[in-house]
Amino acid sequence: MRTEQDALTTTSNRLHPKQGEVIDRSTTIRFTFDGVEYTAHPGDTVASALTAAGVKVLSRSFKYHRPRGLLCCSGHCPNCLVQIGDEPNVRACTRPVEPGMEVRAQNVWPSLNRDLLSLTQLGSRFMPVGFYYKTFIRPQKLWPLYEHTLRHAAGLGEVDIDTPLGEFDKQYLHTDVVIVGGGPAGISAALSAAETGAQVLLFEENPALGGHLRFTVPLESSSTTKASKDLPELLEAVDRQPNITVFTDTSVLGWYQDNWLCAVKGARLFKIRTKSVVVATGAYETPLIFDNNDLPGVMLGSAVQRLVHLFGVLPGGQVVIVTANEDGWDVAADLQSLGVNVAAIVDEREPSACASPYREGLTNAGVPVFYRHTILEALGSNEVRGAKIARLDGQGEISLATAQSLQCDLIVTSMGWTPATELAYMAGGKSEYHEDRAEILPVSTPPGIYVVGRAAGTHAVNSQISEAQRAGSNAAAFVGFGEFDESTAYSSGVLEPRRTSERVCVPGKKKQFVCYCEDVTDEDVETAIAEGYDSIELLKRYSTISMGPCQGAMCSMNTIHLCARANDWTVQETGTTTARPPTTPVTLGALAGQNMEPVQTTPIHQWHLDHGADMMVAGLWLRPNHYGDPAAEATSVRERVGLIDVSPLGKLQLTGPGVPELLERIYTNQWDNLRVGRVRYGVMCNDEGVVLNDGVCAHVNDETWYMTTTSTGATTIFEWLQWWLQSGWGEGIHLTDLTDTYSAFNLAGPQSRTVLEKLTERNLANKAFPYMRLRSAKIAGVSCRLLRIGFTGELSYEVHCPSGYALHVWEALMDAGREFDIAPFGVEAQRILRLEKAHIIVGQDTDAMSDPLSANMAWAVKLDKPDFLGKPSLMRISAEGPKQLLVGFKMVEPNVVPDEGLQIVESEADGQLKIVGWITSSRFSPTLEEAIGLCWLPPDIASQNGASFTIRMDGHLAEARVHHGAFYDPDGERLRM
Amino acid sequence: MLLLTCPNCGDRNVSEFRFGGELSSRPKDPSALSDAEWANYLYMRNNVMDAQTEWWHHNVGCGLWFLAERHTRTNEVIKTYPYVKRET
Amino acid sequence: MNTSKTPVKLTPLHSAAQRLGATFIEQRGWRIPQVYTTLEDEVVAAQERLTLADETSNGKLLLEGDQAESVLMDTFDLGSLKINEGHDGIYRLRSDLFFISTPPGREISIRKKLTTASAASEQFVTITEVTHGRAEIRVIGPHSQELLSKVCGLDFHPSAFPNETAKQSSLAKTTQLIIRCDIGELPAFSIIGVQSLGPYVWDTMMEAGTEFGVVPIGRAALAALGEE
Repeated sequence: MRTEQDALTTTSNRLHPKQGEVIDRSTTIRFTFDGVEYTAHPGDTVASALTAAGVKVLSRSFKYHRPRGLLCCSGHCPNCLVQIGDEPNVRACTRPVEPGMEVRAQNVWPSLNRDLLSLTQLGSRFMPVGFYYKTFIRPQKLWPLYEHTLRHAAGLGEVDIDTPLGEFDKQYLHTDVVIVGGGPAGISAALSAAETGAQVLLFEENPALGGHLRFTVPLESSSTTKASKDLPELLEAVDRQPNITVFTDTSVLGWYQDNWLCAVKGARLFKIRTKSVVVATGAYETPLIFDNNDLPGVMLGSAVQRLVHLFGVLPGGQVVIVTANEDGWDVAADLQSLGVNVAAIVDEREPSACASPYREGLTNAGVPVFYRHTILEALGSNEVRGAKIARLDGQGEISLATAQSLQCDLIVTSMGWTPATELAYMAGGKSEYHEDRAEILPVSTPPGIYVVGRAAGTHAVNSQISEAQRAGSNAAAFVGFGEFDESTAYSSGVLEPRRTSERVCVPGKKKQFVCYCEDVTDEDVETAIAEGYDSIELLKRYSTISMGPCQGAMCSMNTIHLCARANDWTVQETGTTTARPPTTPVTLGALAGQNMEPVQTTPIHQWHLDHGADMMVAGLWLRPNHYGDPAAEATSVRERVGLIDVSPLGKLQLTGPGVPELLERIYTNQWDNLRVGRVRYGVMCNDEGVVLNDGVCAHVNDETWYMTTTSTGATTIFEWLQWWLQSGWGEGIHLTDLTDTYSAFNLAGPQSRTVLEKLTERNLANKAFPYMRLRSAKIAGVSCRLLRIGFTGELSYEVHCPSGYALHVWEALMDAGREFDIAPFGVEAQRILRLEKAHIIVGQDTDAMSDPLSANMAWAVKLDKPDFLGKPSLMRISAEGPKQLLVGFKMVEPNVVPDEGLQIVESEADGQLKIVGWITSSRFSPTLEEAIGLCWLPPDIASQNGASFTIRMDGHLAEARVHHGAFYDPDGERLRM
Repeated sequence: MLLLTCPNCGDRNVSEFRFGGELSSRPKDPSALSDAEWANYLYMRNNVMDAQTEWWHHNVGCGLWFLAERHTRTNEVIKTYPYVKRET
Repeated sequence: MNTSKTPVKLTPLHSAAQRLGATFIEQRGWRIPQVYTTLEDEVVAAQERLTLADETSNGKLLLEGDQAESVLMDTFDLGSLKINEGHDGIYRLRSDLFFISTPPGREISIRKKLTTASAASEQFVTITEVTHGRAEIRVIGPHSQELLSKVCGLDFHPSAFPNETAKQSSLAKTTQLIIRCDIGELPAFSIIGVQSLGPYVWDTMMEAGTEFGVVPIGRAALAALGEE
């Protein structure tokens, strides 16, 4: 084992500089992993730097806490998930090292190399598949304890709730064609589409375009030679093409209806609307399942090639290659040319099936080749020390007698490919299993969706390019650029040699992992199927396979094979699980984006803040709840004068000859006799007879009416009126929302007239301007509308002024009121004042079942009008009699204020309490010096003034008495002063 | 995300719209209706699995209420058009 | 009667401008930001990066009615406009609804003209002034389109959103009228929405524009850029 000093000095795993590498060797940066300092070069990922330093174990597995090391090195598997600073679950193989970065291993206790929780694997028979469903269920009351224990043991990474908000945002993109995947196929498709004049967005999840050409070897006789030499040309062509916009480091997470794609690049989420899509997402190399196949040092061939060619890092010195295709031989040749001791090539095929151009060279160089052999087990405890291999007999079964062990520190598997077709299937593509290829490949896609390259089963680069060029032209033609190329059918690379083995699992006696994310073994899969979870969709849900960070990239194909075998089905019969977004994990921050929670403020918001207002949220509005003492504010209004900002009130202008008829239809009371200059209160119902809103409406001039609605109901009522106007009742009516054009202040209290008179020449005497009238007047030099109405129960004027003048008018009113000790009051004081008058608040005292007859507003319902919204229902309610009534109450103990929402109960014969009503509003009245409220009660109780009833408080019962009428000034004299 | 064509504004994301339920209209003479007929108007919907004509409101846009013919199974919007009051 | 103070109109973005260190001037009764930093810096920012300006003081009228178009054509020398199209500050939002943007103060005379024309035509047309009800934020600069693509789902490419186009859509989760009104070659948009959401929309765009180096600019810079 290396010491900490070694880590800083050893760079023995770093190769000599070579072309194509992405690291800058002229600079060295430092970072720490679990407290130990390491070095890296700019361009290194955390994993490449650690591999260069000889670190093999990067994490502990989810369930059994087994050591795990690099497997895919492409950002798909879960094995290198680490915590960086306060960010959990970062993939070390794709995250670039930054100077001073603090990297920690996850899911370890107490440390990565001595994880005590790994003892759980000794008792792993107690953690079977379906663990969560079977265990910790009973007794239910112990669940909090179970949960605490589980949360400590399970889960990955640590979320620090004190982490400051990150800077995330979103951007909308619009284009003609989207190409997902920037390998040779994606680039070629992009170029062809762009040439037609179409706008193309090209997305690549890696830091650079090129796909597998960035790290596969361009040796003389290789099939990839030509194209690899062409990569710089392809890249240059992309640079020259102005119609292509390239997004690197960007993962496309999902396809949604009407070609709406979601992609993420770091902290930014893209929402992309396109007209056609080319899926060129390549393929995932499929791991092989065998004993201890998760041991650090077992890696995929493409992972090794990435490390070697991009980062100049050798992950081992002595390698055993396990393969079933030419790709494994490519890796062998690659490593051998770099001086690595290739201990063996273990190829499951007959010698005759091997067509690798490197075969002769490797054989001549003395590399031992074991045809018709496969691997049984990875040997070693914390990392690979050897490989046990064995011969396959004529039937393809393992011949255990031939087993032998080879020494090595790296086992590379190249067994085949799982096409990355999730996006095509999300878009509605259909697939089939091709037995000759052992790959599930697309056979059809909806119009405008194309799949090319390895995702479509095409591996040879030249075929990829020609196929992609066709798809690119077709994608553009689909949008209207250029001509369709008719040869669009999926060839699925039928002319190519097979690249993928059907042997996904070598049976054994030790742990074999199908799913690295959730630690699901082959045995778990068999158990789940034996327990009846045999369909692939059920198997997924029960075992949690493919539900972890890899999202099926590593495990889906292997699971399908295992499921098929256990059920004795074909792969085609077994089918696939439904592809769903996201294709790759995404942070919640990226999904949330920039904080955009709309907030509405009135023009004098700053004044409120400057005067100590305690702000509350009402709908989207921020309103002063109080300025320190709501009871004192209420008293100011009762005794002197107060001023409240009611600008959030909905204010609608209705013009035209059709308005009176509309008002008759939408309000429950009479409107066609409302003369100019008059104001009337009205209730709006829907056709169920349910109260929607209330407010006043003023007749301003011949053809203009000015309607107010509740603050939080303004938008709803505007849309409600738009609906009736646009669906048949709009003849001769125009509707305009003036909510924001006018700001409104209610000047209330016995001194309000005197205060207002100081600011206007208009005669405000009771005779000239009585209750429920509208007047226009200049207030402090500003033309305003004045409504004499009184929610608070006092003489009051609602001053509506153009919003630009709001602060001027408000300050003028406050100045004028100073000599009368005017107080600004907030929503809380207003709620007290209106409750003293037993005025209801729609939505507070009423709900989605409340009709005006029951809600003590029968006086505002004229059932003898010809028709209005809700009338037929209200007629029926009226005939049957209300089931509950809204009524006032006082407490027997005057200082006890019951909470809003409390139940009203009655004792039944058996002593049980029956709920018969509930409290909707309650306050301590500073004017009456006792608790008052509104509640719903059965009519027999509600109709008797003074009837007593029982409220269920917290732990005891309290008595209250029905109170009819307003609690304060029941005859409304103060309003009319 | 579904695209919906506002007859006034053109193609927009469905998040700009509010669904208004399947097309139904208020009875001409509600007072003549039996309890069952009135309840039918208030609460009963056809809920077809087929092309359905329904109300949509471009509430985060021009404010137009319009009609869409949409297949309730595939979510395909066959067409959208402005409401025109039929003279009776 | 006490009218010691002359009434002054404040925009909903007044407090935001104060916080950003604006100096103010009064124009047509509105107190508006004249300059935040220096005229030169603000002009350069508009020409090279991204800027926001408070143009709430622009007059705003709504003209509604089936005959609104003919009243407009009678009043102004104006050809027929398609929906979303505009000319000389007159934009058609629906077949029966027009939005008219005027220089500060001009709304009074235009409203009078339209009222006279509508009365003469005896058509049912409603003219409503909503100057005070709508905040107007002007986005100016080469990065305008990118900024808007972060807060609104519309396609702002000039082919999809040419100059003198007006569309109503969701911007930062609120309903806004978005008008493309370039200053010569310089891309510019007006964002017009209810004034109570103005401060929120302003703050949201300032935050979203940080990566482009967004700064607020005042009346002086607008004038220097050729907008008066």
